[in-house]
Amino acid sequence: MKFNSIKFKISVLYIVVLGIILIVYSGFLYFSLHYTLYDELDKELDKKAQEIARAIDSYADVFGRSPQEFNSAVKRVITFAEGYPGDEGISGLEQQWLQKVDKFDLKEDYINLSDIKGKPIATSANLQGMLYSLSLKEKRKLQGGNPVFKSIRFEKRNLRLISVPFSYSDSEQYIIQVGTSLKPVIHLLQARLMHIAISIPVFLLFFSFAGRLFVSRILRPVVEITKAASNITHKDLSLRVRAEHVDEEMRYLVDAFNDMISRLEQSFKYIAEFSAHVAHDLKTPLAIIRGESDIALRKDRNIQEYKRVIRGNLEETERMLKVIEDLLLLTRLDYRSQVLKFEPFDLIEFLREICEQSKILVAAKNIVLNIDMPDAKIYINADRLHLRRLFFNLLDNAIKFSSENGEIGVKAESQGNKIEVSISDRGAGIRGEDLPRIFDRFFHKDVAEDSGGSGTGLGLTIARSIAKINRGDIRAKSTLGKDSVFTVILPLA
Amino acid sequence: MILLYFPAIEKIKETEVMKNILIIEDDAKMRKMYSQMLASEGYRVIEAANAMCANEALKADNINLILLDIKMPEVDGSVFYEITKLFHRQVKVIVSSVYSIDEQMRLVAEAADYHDKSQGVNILLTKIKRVLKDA
Repeated sequence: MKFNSIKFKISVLYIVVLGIILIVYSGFLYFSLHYTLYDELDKELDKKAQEIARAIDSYADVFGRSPQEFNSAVKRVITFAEGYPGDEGISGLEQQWLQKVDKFDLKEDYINLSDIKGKPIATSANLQGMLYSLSLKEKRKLQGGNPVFKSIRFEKRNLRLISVPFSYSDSEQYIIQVGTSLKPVIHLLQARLMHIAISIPVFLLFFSFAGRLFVSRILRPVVEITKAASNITHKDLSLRVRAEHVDEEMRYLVDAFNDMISRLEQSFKYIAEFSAHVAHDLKTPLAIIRGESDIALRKDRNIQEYKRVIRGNLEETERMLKVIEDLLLLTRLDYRSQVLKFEPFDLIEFLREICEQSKILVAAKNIVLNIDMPDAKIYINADRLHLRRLFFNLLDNAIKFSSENGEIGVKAESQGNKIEVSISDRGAGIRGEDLPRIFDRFFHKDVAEDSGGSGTGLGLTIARSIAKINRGDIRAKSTLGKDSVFTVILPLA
Repeated sequence: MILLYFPAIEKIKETEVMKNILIIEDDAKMRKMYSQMLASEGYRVIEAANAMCANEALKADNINLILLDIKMPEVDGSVFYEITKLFHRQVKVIVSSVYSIDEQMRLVAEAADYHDKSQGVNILLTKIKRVLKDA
């Protein structure tokens, strides 16, 4: 019931549309029935009128042509009289006519023969006086030779009336009117209407339930996703929504949802591991501080020793601070890139500056620095400050891992719409299996003793984040024991 | 008079047997710190920066106690422990790490004792003394 809006809207729409369809269709069927029934009745009336006309003709032939004889002939026909005391030939006619009367059920009908002006000449026994007087328009229609049909109310009864022109021997014009009860037709139509009126709401009700069931089935994945979503917490990200028996469009939703949860799970796992690493990496300097302090206090020492211990502790606190700052920087780089200031500058000049500033460190180990860069200016659009850090980082690493009298190469080369800067050293190299992980956080390489172990383990991670945030990347290649090359790729301005 | 006699004999016993402690720790600063401290307490200290060196030391000397760091490159401390248990069962092992004691117990089962480095060296010394006495 949580989806009242969708279910409700669909149900309402569905019922309205279905209702309209049903009503229109029922209306069509009803009116076609109406038309058919009246048409049939009218045809029936027409036949009856024709029979009466024929009968009158036959009788008049026998009785005679004078107006009086004609009138009595007509009377005999219309009143269904039988047993004429005279000619034997007439009884045959009468028999025939009376059979027809039975066949057509004429005894139930109202019959009237009137002259052209409408004055009744003969009426059936059940009729006293006029049946219906025609209007001028109707009379004109009659004169055109066409029958006139009308539904009238006569003596509290509904009748269907036909008026046909009748001329006997091309002389006098008469009007034959036959009226028959409309009751059966009316009853039929009324019953039909009632059936429609009752059945349509019933059908709509039934179909609305069916429709709701159908909508429920379609919306089931949405319910499941909601349930799963409410049950997922950061403690339990293992829930997924099942994707079988699901319609195609919903499948996209379910798949996207499951993927999202998987990604969240990965992120949380990563964060948990990261936190563990951080705690671990901060605990080590603390252990050293505590250890040295404990040892120093165990007995009285001389001032030099105390100074040594205090200095050592300071170094460790600085180490911890650096770890924390690096972490904060990493977080800012990864999640809040507004800290950067992009500006266009010449990368070649920039790199030459950095090499210049590293000369002291390089000279201290007697390392040869080979610079291979084009003479032209190459402009990039990037954050100077952070790129500085990146390249110093890589250069310092190269120096750190080179032995005395080693060689370091700094090369810049354009490749298409990018520029590649490679820093290579002939140092210890990196093991093949470690290579993909060196950019991970806190991946401490097997640090040699003489480098002092002062790294935070985040240097290369930060380097990569800086490269990426400047819309570039960084790659590493290395052969263990021989050399390493770090390549920074940046887009040209 | 007899009372005066026995303590002297006890003291002689202790100082005669100098205990060998093998420190297995990849962090140089930490290792040096422990080494100097234990040496000043009268123990003979052998240092190893990784499992390979530690293995050599175990074969070369008669080690009484190992101070074992868990997180080490290449061969993990917990792996080394399993190997030691197999080949040098009489050697006592105290696990020393920045991991919490619960974590350490999960990674290395049934060591003689466990030490959380951030708790300081005094506690470590107490533990070492106790473990060696039990030997």
